[in-house]
This record gives sequence, C-alpha cells and structure tokens, in this order.
Amino acid sequence: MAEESKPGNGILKIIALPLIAICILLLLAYQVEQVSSVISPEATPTPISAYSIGGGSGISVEEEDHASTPTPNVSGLPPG
Amino acid sequence: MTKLNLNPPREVRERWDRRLALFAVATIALAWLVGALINGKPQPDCRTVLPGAIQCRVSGEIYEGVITNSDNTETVLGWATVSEAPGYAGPVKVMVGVNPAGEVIGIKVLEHTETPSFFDKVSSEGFFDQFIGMQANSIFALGEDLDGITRATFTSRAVSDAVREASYLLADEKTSLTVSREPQPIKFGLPETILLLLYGAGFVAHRGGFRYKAIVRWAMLITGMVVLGFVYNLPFTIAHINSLLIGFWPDWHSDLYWYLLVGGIFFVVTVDNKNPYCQWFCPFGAAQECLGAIGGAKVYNPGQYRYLLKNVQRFLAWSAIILGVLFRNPSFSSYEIFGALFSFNAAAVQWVVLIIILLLSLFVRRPWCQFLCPIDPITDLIHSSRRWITEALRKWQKKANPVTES
Repeated sequence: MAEESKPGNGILKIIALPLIAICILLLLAYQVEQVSSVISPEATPTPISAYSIGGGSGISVEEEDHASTPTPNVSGLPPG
Repeated sequence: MTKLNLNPPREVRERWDRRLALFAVATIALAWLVGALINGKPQPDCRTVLPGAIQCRVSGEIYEGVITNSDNTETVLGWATVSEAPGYAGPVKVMVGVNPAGEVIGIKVLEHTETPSFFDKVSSEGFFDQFIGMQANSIFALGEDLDGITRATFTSRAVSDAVREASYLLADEKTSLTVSREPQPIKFGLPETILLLLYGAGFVAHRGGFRYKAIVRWAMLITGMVVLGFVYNLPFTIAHINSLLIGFWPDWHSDLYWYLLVGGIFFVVTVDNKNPYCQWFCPFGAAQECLGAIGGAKVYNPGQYRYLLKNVQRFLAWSAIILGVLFRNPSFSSYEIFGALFSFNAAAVQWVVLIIILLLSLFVRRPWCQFLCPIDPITDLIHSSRRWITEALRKWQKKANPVTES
C-alpha cells in the first residue's frame, strides 16, 4: 500500500488541492456546456444529428417543398 | 461567528450520508419519470427515405409513400419503417425506405446518442451510400456485403443492424422477397476472454492468504490498461450506469462484453461487497498507478476538505446520472477523460483535465479515482445501502424476536 501523507502536508498542500479544484470546475463547466448544447442546439453543434440518404431533405413536413422532386442526394449531414 | 465545520464527526457524516443517498435515489427516480415524459418523439416523415413521395400513409409500423397522378389515381412509390439497434452509447434509430422492386432507396438516422466525432466519421466516409440499391433481403453484415468504418465499428454495426431489421420487415410484409434469418452469432473475442480471465484472477487473488496478491494485481492492472484501455478502449464508465437505468441494453449476441463488464461488477459489488474493478483492472486507474510508481506517489489526505471533496465527487456522479436519465442519452453527461488517453478523442476541457491528472498522478496516488471518478460514489452507495439494509433487518428481527435475541 502506498504511504499516506500527513493531512495537507508539504508540496501536496500547495499543488494538489488547487489542481483538483481546477479539474472539478472544468468538469462542471463541461457538463454545463453539454446541457446547453442540448437545450439550445443552434448555439453549438448538436450531438444528436441526423443523416439521410436517398430521400428528401429531412426537413419537416411543413417546410418541405412539395412541388420539387427530391433527388437521391446526401443531405442532412451533421454539422462539423 | 461560528466557524463552518467542513469535516464533521463520523456520526454526523453518517447521518448526512443517509440523507444524501435518499435524496440522490429519489431525484434520479424523478428524473427518470420526467425524462420519459419529455422525450416523447413525433412521427417521422417517410418522404425523407422515399424519393418523390408526396404523401405518407401509416399502417401499423409501416409507412406507405404515394404520389397522386393527374387522373387522381395513386401510385405507391415504396414503403418505409423505423428500427433501432444498440450503438456505442445508446440506440441508433434508423428509417429505411424500400421500393416495390425490393431495393433500399433511402435511409435516415432519426436519432442517435453516439459520440459526434464517431458518427461524423461514419457519415463522412460514405458508409450510408453502400445501402442504396441493395436488396431488402441482403445480409447487411459488416465485412460481408458492407464495409465497416475503422474505429467507428460500434456505430456502423448499429446502423447496419437497424437497417437489416427494418428492411427484413418491409421485405416480408410488402415484397415478394424471401428473407432468410440466420441466427445471430455470439461475439466472443479477445476483450471478452481477457475480461473473464481478469475476473478469475481477481477472485483467486482476493482470497485471504494468497501469496502472490501484489504480483497478480499488477499483472491485472497492466493487462487492463493495455487490452481494455489502449487496444479496445472499453473501460467502465458512467454511460454504462446510465444505459442500465434508461434501459438501453445492447443485444447480448453482439455485445456480450457489456453484460460481462456491467453484470460482473454489479454482481460482485452487491453479493460479495467487494469492488472487482477499480483497484484491480480499471485501465485508467492502472495508468495512474504506473505514473505513481515512477514518481513515488502517496495517498493524498486533504485534511479538513476531505468530506467536502467527497461530496463534490458525489455531486459530479449524481449530476451525470441525472442528466443522462433526464435526456435519455447515456453518454453525453459522461465527463470521464478515458477517451482522451485511450483513443485520443475528447473535448478540449477533458484534455486539460487529463494532463493535470497525469501530472498529479506522479505525486498523488490515483487522484482521479480519489476525487473525481463517478464510479467510486456509486460503489460507495451500493456498499452503504447494503450495510443500512442489513442493519435495518437486524433491528427489525430484534424487535420481532426479543426473546431469542436476548
């Protein structure tokens, strides 16, 4: 078993705690960013992207142009 | 002014731990229910996979795409249906369109929770193009009539599985094609074998009086790091817990590893009250220990901040589960940094955290496990719940049979 340091002793006291605190803040920021990407997909590239091939544009029924004939092309590619 | 006590006495901590555990379980259950309500999906539009169709009619699971002719008659252009298959981080839902000749004429991924970079790789390397023109009763198997995408095999396999299931349904119901469904083989390869060997070695090494415990443990750690980490990138993550809670259980034929990993860990933790994974073959734990051995790392005791840091770690785990369950997306709240080390695939923030953790590992024993890993609070909760239930049962038995106990 590794030797245990005394509570908050020496170099660890100076380095470890602030670094761990930075990691915690960064990971919390990461989670907030992930949530905001789902709540407002236009703000950042959405992780839930759709891909379609062979059919229409993948846009909603209301938006799709009924007069045009969809061609078998690649559309709805995910951002990025 | 009273000073805030960050490290209360054991009895107080114990009381708070119980309250926090109850709160965590209750809020996760609530998030599960809310997630089920807010994740209701609208009906997909079949015209996205049936080129030229003007109207979609729905009959059960099958959509019929039609066009109205000038004499007011209708021509059926094809049929579509939706199917899903488990990917790396949850189900991949696909809509498939088939024409009256039985050819696949369109596919659309309606939903997925795969890592965006992996999904982008699959879509940008032409994987989806391969399906167009294939007969609906084709095998749709990677390495046979389809080329998989390297380093995105889970995603490409999920898409091909979903397309196969949807196409077979359409071929059976709407075309004259004959479908031969061969039983799906059970995938049992090197990761599954190694995992079973690691469980076996751990079982032997756990036994009291085993002389070579330290050597076996190091061998297990290095095997875990190399095989389950660097070669296959298959560590246990919070996404596994979320998948378990949400019900995104993969097909056991194609993903036996998932069941062996999740089932094995939960079985040993709940039945034997021991953690067979973290200290024994966690790939990231092993990487930290290797660095610790080089730098002479010690267990870091944060003194008065110990209980506060423990609760922050619990909060990180709790929030990752709440978000995963609420948004029905097992992996997006998974903040672990394993992907950065083992597959060089991570967000910028995760890279920064990885560098800090690896540097810290030289001086502090397993800093990630001790202060940040979400798995530790979960196994703690299981251990504590087990103890609380046992204590409650004992008290109840004592009350029920006061004579025999005294």
